[in-house]
Amino acid sequence: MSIELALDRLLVQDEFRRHLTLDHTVPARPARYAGFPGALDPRLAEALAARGISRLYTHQAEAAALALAGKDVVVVTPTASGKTACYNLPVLQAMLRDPETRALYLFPTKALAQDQLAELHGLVGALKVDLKTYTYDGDTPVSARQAIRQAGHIVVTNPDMLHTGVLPHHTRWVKLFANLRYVVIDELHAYRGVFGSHLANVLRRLWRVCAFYDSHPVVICCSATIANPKELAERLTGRPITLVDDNGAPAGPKRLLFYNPPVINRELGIRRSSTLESQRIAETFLRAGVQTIVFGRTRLQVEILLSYLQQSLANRLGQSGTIRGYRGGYLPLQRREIEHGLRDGSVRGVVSTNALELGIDIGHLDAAVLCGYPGTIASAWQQIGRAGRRRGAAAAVYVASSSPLDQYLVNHPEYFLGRDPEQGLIDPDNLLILSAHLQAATFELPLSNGEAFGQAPVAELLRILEEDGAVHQAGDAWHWSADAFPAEGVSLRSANADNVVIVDVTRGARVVGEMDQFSAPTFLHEEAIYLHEGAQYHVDRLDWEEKKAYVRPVKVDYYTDANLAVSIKVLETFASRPAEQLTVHHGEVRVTALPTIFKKIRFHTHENVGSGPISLPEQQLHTTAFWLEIPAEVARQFPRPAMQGALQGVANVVSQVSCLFLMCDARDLGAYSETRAPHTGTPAVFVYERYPGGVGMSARLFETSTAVIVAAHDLVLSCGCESGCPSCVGPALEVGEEGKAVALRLLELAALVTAAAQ
Amino acid sequence: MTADLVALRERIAAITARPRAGAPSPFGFPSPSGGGQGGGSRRLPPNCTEEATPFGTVAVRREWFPDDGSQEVGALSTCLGFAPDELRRPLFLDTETTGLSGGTGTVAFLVGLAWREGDGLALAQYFLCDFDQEQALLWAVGQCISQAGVLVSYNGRSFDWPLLQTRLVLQRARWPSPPHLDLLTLARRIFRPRLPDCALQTIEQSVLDLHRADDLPGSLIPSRYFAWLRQGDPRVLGPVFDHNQQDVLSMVVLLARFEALLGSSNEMHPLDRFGRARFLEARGFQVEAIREYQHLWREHQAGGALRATRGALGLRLARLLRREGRWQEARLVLEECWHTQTYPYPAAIELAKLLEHQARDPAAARRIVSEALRLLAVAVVSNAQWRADLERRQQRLERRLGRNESPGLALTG
Ligand SMILES: [Zn+2]
Repeated sequence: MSIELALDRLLVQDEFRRHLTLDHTVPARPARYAGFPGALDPRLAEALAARGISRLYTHQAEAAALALAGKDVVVVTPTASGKTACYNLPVLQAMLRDPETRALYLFPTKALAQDQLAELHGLVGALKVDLKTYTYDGDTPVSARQAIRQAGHIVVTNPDMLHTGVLPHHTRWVKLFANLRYVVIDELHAYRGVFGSHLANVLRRLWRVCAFYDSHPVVICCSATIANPKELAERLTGRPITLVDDNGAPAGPKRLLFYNPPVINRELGIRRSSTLESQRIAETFLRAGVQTIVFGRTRLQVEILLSYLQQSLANRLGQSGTIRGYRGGYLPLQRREIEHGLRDGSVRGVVSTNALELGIDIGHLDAAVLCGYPGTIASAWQQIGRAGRRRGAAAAVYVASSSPLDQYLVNHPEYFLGRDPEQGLIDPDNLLILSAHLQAATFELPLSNGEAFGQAPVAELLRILEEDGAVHQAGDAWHWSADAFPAEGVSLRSANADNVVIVDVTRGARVVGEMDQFSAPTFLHEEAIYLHEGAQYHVDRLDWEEKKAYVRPVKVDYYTDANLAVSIKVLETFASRPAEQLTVHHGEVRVTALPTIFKKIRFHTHENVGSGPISLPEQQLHTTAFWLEIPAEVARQFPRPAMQGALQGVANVVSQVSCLFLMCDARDLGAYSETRAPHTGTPAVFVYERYPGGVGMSARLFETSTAVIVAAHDLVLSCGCESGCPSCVGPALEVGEEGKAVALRLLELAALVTAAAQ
Repeated sequence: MTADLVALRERIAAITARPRAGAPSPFGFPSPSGGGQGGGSRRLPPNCTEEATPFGTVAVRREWFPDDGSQEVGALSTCLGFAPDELRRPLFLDTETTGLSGGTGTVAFLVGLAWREGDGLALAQYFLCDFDQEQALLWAVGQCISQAGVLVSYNGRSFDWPLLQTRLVLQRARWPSPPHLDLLTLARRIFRPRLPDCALQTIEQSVLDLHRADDLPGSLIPSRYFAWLRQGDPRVLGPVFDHNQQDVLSMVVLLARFEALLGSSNEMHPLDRFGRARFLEARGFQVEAIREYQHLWREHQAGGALRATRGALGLRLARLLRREGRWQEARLVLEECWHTQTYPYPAAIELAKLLEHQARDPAAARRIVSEALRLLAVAVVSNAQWRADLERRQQRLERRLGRNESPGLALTG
């Protein structure tokens, strides 16, 4: 009742209604049930009944039945559709049948693993049988590890621990590997890009070790909604996988609103602050007594939203304590407390970074306010999914920021509502990643002559490793032959061995992250503001020789942007395709980048509030790229200065839209334009991958180039600014007076939309 | 491997261009076909012979040493709980490995074994000429292990044995598990008070008076083996075999020394004697331990070699005495510790416990606790754990005394 009231209060405001770009009701979805799989152990049925579950949703039943029949399966599970039953049921069923059965659960983070374990303990407790479930990660005490290795029926861990702590010591896990029947990979969509490419190789190693112990586990994957769950699961596991995506969980009707804050400076394309607008909307919900969750994009934004909301509600209602903040790093106990408060009504609102979006269960609320686009459509749906009960109405309001992606989405709600175009992309055969894991694999078990490892030229790589003294051939196999532990030198989360390590000087020199050598000068130069898990850090010092960046946490209202003097050399063109008068290409390039200066740019207004020089050595990156080439006769139609700005504008907007299509972070891609590319002498725009060799993103961009370019064109066309702004091609100051118009024309030519646009 | 993609690609291209099929190896190694059958053509390290196993041949260097040392095992068997019959048939074991990081990629390439044979000592060093002989090597070593009464090692419990177990799993083989005496555990108990560390070489120098000449440092051993694998030069291995042999022989001497040390404490360095008493206490020989502690407590009033450990000694003695019901004696020891300010805070805590529970004098206990807290407050190095313990104790004593005192006051008033 109160949700309708709150929506009415918003919708009677002319100002609000006028700036809605979407008012859509997702219809209620009835539950669709199926019985328990035929052979379900009565003890399991009883335990489920004790927890109030007397039947399954269709997708749960289908996934469980397939897994029990020995089929590898990937289940697409929207927020709160009971995904854990999809794997817990078959696993526990197999264990009841044969108590020797073992299972391995993989979660991308330790926090998620802990959360899952609590849930699993509940179900196992109700079963009243002696099944031992443990987490095994960096926090597991050494004294407990022996028992876990020997007796753990279900071992819950993360890819990093599997990579360095389990596989290289597999002989200590004989019980687990010899009896391994199930491998569960939850949050499959998190394994994309470099991380996913690494995991695919860790899994190749896992299958080798399983084969040694003569076990052939069934794989059960769960994924949020992405475009290619089956493809991603198959690329990750190297096996054919059956897709289950027919969700049977119920949902009440949900009102979905897209709100674009009004423009306050048309010329510069500046809009009213999305933070303040989100606060205003959330306040309306909260004052109507609607339990609300607000998502901010950064920790800073969350803090601002939280304090504003607490202040305004304390003044008016005297109940500031009922709004809670929720950031990364909360302990399970604190989460339980918030969850409990939400359930008993003492907590009315939560302001959160995306920490909540990753599968952690805090129950359901009536309304969600998204302050800015969280980066991927899958994440946006997960955040929206936080609002919605099984019965009763709910609402979600997306408030767009002025970033190009936000502006594209808010103006193209049909894109958002249509089939999700995001791809989970990986390249398990990236030569650098693969060769690192080939070493770890040889360490784990000698590699037989002729044994395959992915699509790699294994024989050649082994010859190289032999020259380097890492492996040695004896009899019919290759053996590890170095006094080194190869898994230790390979971080699954980032690129190379030569990463720059980021050290927080305020917390006992704790390492907060690392970054590849090529990106570090751009993001970790001295005085840079480095963003990590939503927190801001100031880079005090960058020791390039030692590859260490010393940072401290700060709260500032600006970010930094480094200018790079870039040049690109095309080394090999894999494929080309003409598009009207332009051509698009995919191939291998060498990027040379020299950082020159950095600018401090204020959030929201994007004004330049300072700058400074960067003196660091030139970096080279050998990678794959997607590029547009403009023939000389087309380029001649435009004045040269306009062309320069336009090309930069096209580079800006195409790379932004590419992130949208590829489901990747803006840092995964680089963009660059040339008025006279060295290999042809004609203008060109490049989008390149920041990981050496690439992980398949540029190939996918080439495949879907028309859609990407059409989206970029739409974004520029529908932007209200006169001659460029940060929401489209970039500010007019950067791209020039004619930059936007020429960029639009170039995108038309590239997208084959000349006829349609005229 | 370098993380440079260009370099990697170029090297792959170079390798692809090179003629490969059937090309002889640059080092003149014939490529052996199948489980070490091509034995005759392999080179061997100096003084090694090849012996047959059901899994092909294995290289071994054998030696025999006359051994007229005592073979008494009475004290060891009493103190450690091994059967004398087992201890009379020790198998000394030490491995050299391809690395120290452990994990499935670390291989034991040299296994040195020694056992008593006739009136001497037999030494066998099994050597892995190449990785494909591992099954044969493990089989040969397993034959010796199945004959052993007790396995004797130095740090073998946490290093050599688990590593060999890993190799067995990888080769799908099994061995019997004889009782295992890890001399490092014993050395730590007894020599820890005197020596900075208990590395075998430290023990050799400071306890056995053995001094190695031209010993190859352990950290260089893996690279010697890899050099053998790649260049096939047998000369690089001599120092490795010698190092391993010395390790094994030192264990033989050390075992005999432990028998003597455990049997009698006469003429021992006082710190070793303290270590020995700690060992006896840990093994449950309380009466002997008290006797030794008391001896040291009385004989070294002035401290001397025991100056730094006198507090710890007093505390151990007092705890043992109290456990035996001899709390008056314990009280004297603790009071001396407290008054001479040797290790004063733990002594104060122990003394307070004793005064409260055995002497039933809570007021005296409270006095000690308050004084200790007062001293701790001005101490240069504070200790949070002691402070917490003392404060907890003080509160409890205050409560207890408060409760008991109030009715008393009421009566007199
Ligand atoms: Zn614009």
